[in-house]
Amino acid sequence: MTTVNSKTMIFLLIVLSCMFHNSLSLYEDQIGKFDWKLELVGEVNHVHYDESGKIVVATDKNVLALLNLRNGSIVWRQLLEKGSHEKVQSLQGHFQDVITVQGRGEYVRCWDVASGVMKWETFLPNNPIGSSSIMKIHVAAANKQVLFVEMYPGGGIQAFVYNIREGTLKKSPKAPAPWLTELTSCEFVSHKHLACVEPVTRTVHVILIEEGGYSSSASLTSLGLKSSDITTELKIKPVANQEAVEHPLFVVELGNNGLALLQLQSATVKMVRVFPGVADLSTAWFDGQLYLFVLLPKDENYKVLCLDSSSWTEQQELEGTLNVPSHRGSVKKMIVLPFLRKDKEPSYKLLLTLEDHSLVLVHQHGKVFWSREEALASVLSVEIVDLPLSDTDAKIEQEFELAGADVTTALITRLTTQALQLQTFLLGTLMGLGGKGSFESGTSELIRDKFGLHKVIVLVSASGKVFGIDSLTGTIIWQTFVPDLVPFNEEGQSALPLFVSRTTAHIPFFPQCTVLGKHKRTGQGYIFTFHPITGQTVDQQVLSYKVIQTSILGYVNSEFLRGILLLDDELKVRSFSSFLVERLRDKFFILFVISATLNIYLIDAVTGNIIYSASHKRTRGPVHVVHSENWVVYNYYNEKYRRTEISSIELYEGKMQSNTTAFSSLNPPFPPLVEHQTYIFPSQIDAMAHTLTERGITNKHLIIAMPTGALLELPKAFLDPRRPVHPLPEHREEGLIPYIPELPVPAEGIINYNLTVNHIRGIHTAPSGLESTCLIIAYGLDLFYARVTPSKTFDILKDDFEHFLISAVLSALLLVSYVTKKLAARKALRAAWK
Amino acid sequence: MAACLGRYITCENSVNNRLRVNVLLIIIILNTVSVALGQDGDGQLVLYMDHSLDQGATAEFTSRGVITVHSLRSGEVSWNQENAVDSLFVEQLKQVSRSGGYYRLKLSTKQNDDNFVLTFMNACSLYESALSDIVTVTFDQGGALLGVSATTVPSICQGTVISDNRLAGFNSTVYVVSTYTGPSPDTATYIQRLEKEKAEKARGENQDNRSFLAKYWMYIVPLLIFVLLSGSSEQGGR
Repeated sequence: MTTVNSKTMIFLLIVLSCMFHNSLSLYEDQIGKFDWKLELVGEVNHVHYDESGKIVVATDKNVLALLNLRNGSIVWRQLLEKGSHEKVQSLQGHFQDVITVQGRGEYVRCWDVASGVMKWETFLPNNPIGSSSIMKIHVAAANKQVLFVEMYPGGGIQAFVYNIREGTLKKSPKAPAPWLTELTSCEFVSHKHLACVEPVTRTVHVILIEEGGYSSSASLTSLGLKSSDITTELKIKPVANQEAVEHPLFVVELGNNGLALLQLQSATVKMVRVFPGVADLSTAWFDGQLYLFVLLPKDENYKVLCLDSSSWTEQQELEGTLNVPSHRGSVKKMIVLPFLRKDKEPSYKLLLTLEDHSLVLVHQHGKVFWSREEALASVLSVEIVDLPLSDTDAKIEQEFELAGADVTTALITRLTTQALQLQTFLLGTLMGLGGKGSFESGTSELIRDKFGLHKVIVLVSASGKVFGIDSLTGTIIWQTFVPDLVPFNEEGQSALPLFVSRTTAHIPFFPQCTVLGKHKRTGQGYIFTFHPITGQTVDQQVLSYKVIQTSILGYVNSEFLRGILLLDDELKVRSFSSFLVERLRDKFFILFVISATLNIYLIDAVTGNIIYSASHKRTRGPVHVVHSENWVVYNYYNEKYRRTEISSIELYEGKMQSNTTAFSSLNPPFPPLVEHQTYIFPSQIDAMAHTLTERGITNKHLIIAMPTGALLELPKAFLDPRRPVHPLPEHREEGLIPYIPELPVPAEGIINYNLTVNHIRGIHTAPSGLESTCLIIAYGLDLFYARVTPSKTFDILKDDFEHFLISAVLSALLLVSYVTKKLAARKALRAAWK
Repeated sequence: MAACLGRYITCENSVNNRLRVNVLLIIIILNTVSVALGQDGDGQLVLYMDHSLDQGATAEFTSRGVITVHSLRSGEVSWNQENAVDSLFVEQLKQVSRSGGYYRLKLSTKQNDDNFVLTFMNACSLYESALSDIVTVTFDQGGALLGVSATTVPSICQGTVISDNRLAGFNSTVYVVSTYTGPSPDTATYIQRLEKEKAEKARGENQDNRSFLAKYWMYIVPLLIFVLLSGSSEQGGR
């Protein structure tokens, strides 16, 4: 037996030893992975919270997501239709399900909370699309009902109850509502009641949905409110946990004067209490008892008061404090998440949505558990800014600034800085020979690295928030909130232009960035200037005029600041840095170019000369344009063939070289040779950009964002308009690819491999210190940063480069050649003596 | 980037585009309405040319002449500007070119129309070229006037003095340019090419009839060199 056993043991050992495998691994940076991605959801509008600690949110970006209560990370995320008329109107949960209603009821969906899987989908019947009525929708998830009302201002109100399980629609007769105007604010305050407040007559109306009529109406003054407390901005706000209650509580917002808590009691509205100066109000159940939580601003902080809902007395032990930093703005909404502490005492966490679109979870006593910077989901402008030089390098730069200093001091500074420089160089060489991280310095300090790969990404969000992000890690270095800054908005396009007024290159002057937007209340121009590395505010001012158009100037003043050109609503040219206005006025021109199809005009900005114009018939947008050097690439949708096409224009001077020495912008050169060709692109395009490198020697690639969430890097050579249909040898010599009407989407050209970047709105590119490398950041719902090398990494030594071997071989060669020279000389001497 | 889409998107002069040939501005306008055409019944277009040497915003334009575009397609143009130049104009031109001012040209389809296109050039280049200017007028496909630009031969001011008798009248060249139809993907030619290649392959026409050496010289030559080199090094070794 034992022999058999030992034999099998040996056999097993042999088999097992065969299974040993030599596995090799690489570091991320060795395969060139330097990218990061931030996943976001958008500004939270609807929240569903259940006892098991699951937070389901629906956002303004039409994203439904389950957040982890412990760290705020996304457990699952569903991207719903992104149209503005398909917004999530109502979100209600019941056990394992959440039900969402979008738009005017086009989509009624049920989701499994744990997995995010859609269980079923339906739509509301009897829903005329494009109806003029105002619609309010409310889901009663527990009853499997969708309640909705159609309101016709000046006409009446019609209520509907749709039973999801049976698919039946109960319709009430249209009730007259002469008080209903566009200004009336209506909300569902429970599964049965709709409350409306009418700001002109200051009357509250409550409508009982099931019966269809309105059960009661009362003026606010008759309820005991002083008329001085009532502003014209009256709004109804439902109170949490009142859906299934017989006598629901609800709130009337009194503009800036606080909140009035009202209760519906058997066909009459009763005033419960007025809370002056209160930011928000919420409720929570503890031990079968409903408690009211009131958020009260107090000395730049907040205090949370708790009231018992039966006696309306303050509960000291459930009071809380809150410290909201200034870069978050004020609290928009508070949700109380009750829990029992280990000692069985009731406590709570607060989920807050703030003015800057962030979502924060805090403890009763103000300790922040986590925060989500959802302002990053609505980024409008991006700039990538160089980091400042290290102190040693800065000293070398300063040497040139010492104007007027005498010779000896200049000499001394030069010698000391050069000694320092030698020291750092020697240290660096030694480090390099040791093969230790010369390529990736990985310094956490905000100092420029050798290859200019470490930068600060400045992002401006539609919420008025400005971020500085570390390009290596994607962490937020600083954030500033400008509450009064709102974006320009025209034809559904928002813009908050961001300019780099002064780059990091001008020591001792610090770099400076400027955001231009509108003032929230007045709509006039608003300029916000800041330091892009530290985020310190340099200047902010409201202009005395509205801004129509803006541009940064190509010139710098004596302090290396670029001026910003503004065009105000009276079409007057203004300059922010107040110089060069006179010269620019001559160059200013107005265009009124018109057409019925997609027209493209290339116009000389100095003379107004139309260099080239072309039109594409039966096409529509959206159009994205990329322009660099002597070429322009743009895309459009061809309605005839129902496909996306990319058109490419290149301008050439022709076979004759023009006289470059005697050149004036005022005299347009001879009409250039224009090459124009169109290609089919097999996907739609969300955004387009081109790679930028330090010296522009590296090949140009286009970065194309596709709706699938892929970022394609396509060589510009594919879009060369000269691609020949009948290739000849001379074409091959020039490196022209034979013409194929459809552009390829090679899988290896997808730079974000399996990291889907959703709803990309723009791509920003910036050069790094290395000629081969271009930095790109794509922004939309997610943020994605990567490095691309259009002509491969021709100027980078590999990590495993044998510094020692090469230097040993070189020195050995030198030595050997020296020795052989000596030997040869001796031999020649001997031969001569023979 | 100098792409301007909409009114708020900014146009900035990029420092990075050092190889830029010219400063361009691209404007794409979708689905806007066309301006009234100045076309006569018989397809002719008449353009009224006004000019001015006055500086500043309140310049007064005087008539220079009339351009008649007979056909947009062929670019056939005739113009009449006989009474454009008098001694007063010549004197003003000399004075303005000395002071570095501008000469402005205005084109419209109706006389004294508010809808006009305007261009300018250095007055000195007009003077030094002895009033030989090249005017390029751009139209869209419907015949609406889009723009005008003017240059002279030579275009650079060098301080040449021109005698008065050479300044008797304009020696103009007028070009008419209209919007091109943008190309669409050329699928037909591509498919034709593919079919042709297929047919050629089937017939075996494109068989390589070159000799063995002509076909594979690029492999043979390095091999020969290698053999020769190794042979010579052996010799050296001995």
